[in-house]
Amino acid sequence: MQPGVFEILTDRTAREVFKAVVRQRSINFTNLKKVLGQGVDVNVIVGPLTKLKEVGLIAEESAPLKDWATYYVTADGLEAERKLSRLEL
Amino acid sequence: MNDFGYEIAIASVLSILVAIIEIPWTSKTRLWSSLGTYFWVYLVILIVGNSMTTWVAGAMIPKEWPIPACISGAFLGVFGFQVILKNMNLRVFDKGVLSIEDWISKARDLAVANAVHEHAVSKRQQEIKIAEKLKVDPSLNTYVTQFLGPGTVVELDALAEANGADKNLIKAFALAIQKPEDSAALCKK
Repeated sequence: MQPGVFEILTDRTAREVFKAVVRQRSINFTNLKKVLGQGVDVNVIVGPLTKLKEVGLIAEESAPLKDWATYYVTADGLEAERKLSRLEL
Repeated sequence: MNDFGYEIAIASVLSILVAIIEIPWTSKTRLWSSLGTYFWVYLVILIVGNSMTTWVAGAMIPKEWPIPACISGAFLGVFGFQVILKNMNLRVFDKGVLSIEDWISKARDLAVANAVHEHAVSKRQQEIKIAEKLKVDPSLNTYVTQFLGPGTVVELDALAEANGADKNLIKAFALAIQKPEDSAALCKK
């Protein structure tokens, strides 16, 4: 796992975005917004998504429109989720 | 083949069953997405691990046990795997290297992640293939209205323009993503 992974996951929004992707395994941007809540500001989740991709916890399958891009969990993401669950218990 | 041979053979079959259920279930994909290189690596590690625990479990079963030892040993070894392996650690030069449970977890993570990746990529490729076919269909706007609702054509045209994208490609992609089965059927016409 890349350094800085758990620093990113200390941010509440990044943690919620990460957990939503892990729970579904793969999810498109439109459905991710729905899962995170009706009133969620798109700009608030784009930043965490980018950071989560940079540290390798999730990956993106791009599409012609941002709303249709698919985000999915990586092996590092699964390992981080397991460690996060143990910390939260 | 002696009893030990039968035990390992049964444990191997059970391991294969566990893997072909576990990886698709954990990755939330279909079996065909799961059968990449990492799946087979995980399966080999699982068979080796389960064979070891079967060997350990087989020694614990009393001779008076009514169920043949080769069957009960294999079941106990495979399904008691987690309990037994939690306490088995690999040490080199008296230093802990990695517990076997960690190895199994890492191999499982790779297999699951690979299945998720394959599923996402193949789904996208299928959507692109459908969109490429439908974007040149003269009835595209009719299909969009029929399957995505009235007013969607205008919405998607506006969205395409705002993003500098091809209008027909966007409409065809919207159909492929939101109505995958219907749009696949349209391609076959």
